[in-house]
Amino acid sequence: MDEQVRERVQVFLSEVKQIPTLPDVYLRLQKAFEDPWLSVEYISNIIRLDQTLTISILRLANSPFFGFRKKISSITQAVMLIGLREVYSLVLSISVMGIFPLKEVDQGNLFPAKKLWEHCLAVGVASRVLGKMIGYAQPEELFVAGLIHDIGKLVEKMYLGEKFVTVCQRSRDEERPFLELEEEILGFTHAEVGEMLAEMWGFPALLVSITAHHHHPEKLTEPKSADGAAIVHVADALVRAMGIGWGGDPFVPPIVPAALERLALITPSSLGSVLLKIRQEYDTALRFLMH
Amino acid sequence: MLVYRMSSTYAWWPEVVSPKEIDPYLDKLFLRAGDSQWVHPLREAIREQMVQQLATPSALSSTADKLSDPAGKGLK
Ligand SMILES: [Fe+2]
Repeated sequence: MDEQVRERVQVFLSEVKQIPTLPDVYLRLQKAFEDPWLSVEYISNIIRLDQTLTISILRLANSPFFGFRKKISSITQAVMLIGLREVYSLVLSISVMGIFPLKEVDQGNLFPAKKLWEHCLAVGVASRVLGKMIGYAQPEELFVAGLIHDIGKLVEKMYLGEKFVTVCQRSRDEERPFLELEEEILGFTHAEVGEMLAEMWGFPALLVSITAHHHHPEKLTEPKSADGAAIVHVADALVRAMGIGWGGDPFVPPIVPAALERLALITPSSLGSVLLKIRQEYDTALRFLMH
Repeated sequence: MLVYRMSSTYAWWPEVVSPKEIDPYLDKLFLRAGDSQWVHPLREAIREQMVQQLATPSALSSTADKLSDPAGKGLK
């Protein structure tokens, strides 16, 4: 990130009185994962302390959305069967979902949080679908990556006040991309805000760099994060084309050719069935995540 | 958590109600999509699914229907 841009984002975030925080259990889990001696028992014990999280994990782990096949009845079993990384991704997903103020009033609102949430959820789902298709090693991480890719927009919406409204209004009136107006009016974009938030929250480096580069995946070279950013970038375009949720403007954004090279295993002629798959998984996700 | 009502009436592109609206809608949707390799096939795939939805609304209908926004028209 450019130094000047970083400074501007820092000024913005320093004015935010209360940055949304992730639940304690996530932070404790994150610390535990830094320990090279971490054990299934230890991780399970941390999760079990949070009853709501325990219930959510079991519910999700047993839903067709995650489809782990075997019936999972305890946290220890979940950690053993689906793996530490996946459980970590689940906890992170659940924690991030809790940040979205889904109950806000929509009337006259140019950018309802619920619509942004639908966009993010669908990009998470689509990223996982694309990841599986190209044999990405940890597709669950892509789900989280998609879920948080636009988290910067949420924080802008919550704390930028009038300036955010101006970005939305001018984007609508001038029929220009939200991203372009962020740059013009704010001097930074949600990708940079998201990057700094992800750093502040201590997210894994992979998620920080995917969030930062989801509009410019060509800038990454390390294969795993470059593939991840390319996938989220393309997923964003597909989801907007499908008309799910709201990402700030009604346009399908340009897809960077370098991203398509990384998704070369997916042929353009198969896009119809890819879209149907995303649609189907998005429906399942809605059914199990919202209740 | 958000409350969603299950039904089979949710349409994917609620703003498109007749075949003649498909192209103008797609023109706007793809106005800024550039000319990458996927743009044309993506547009065609979307068009095909819109046509299908108009022909048989239940074919693509989703199970989710938003309580506060039954037509999904919140932003238009
Ligand atoms: Fe974005």
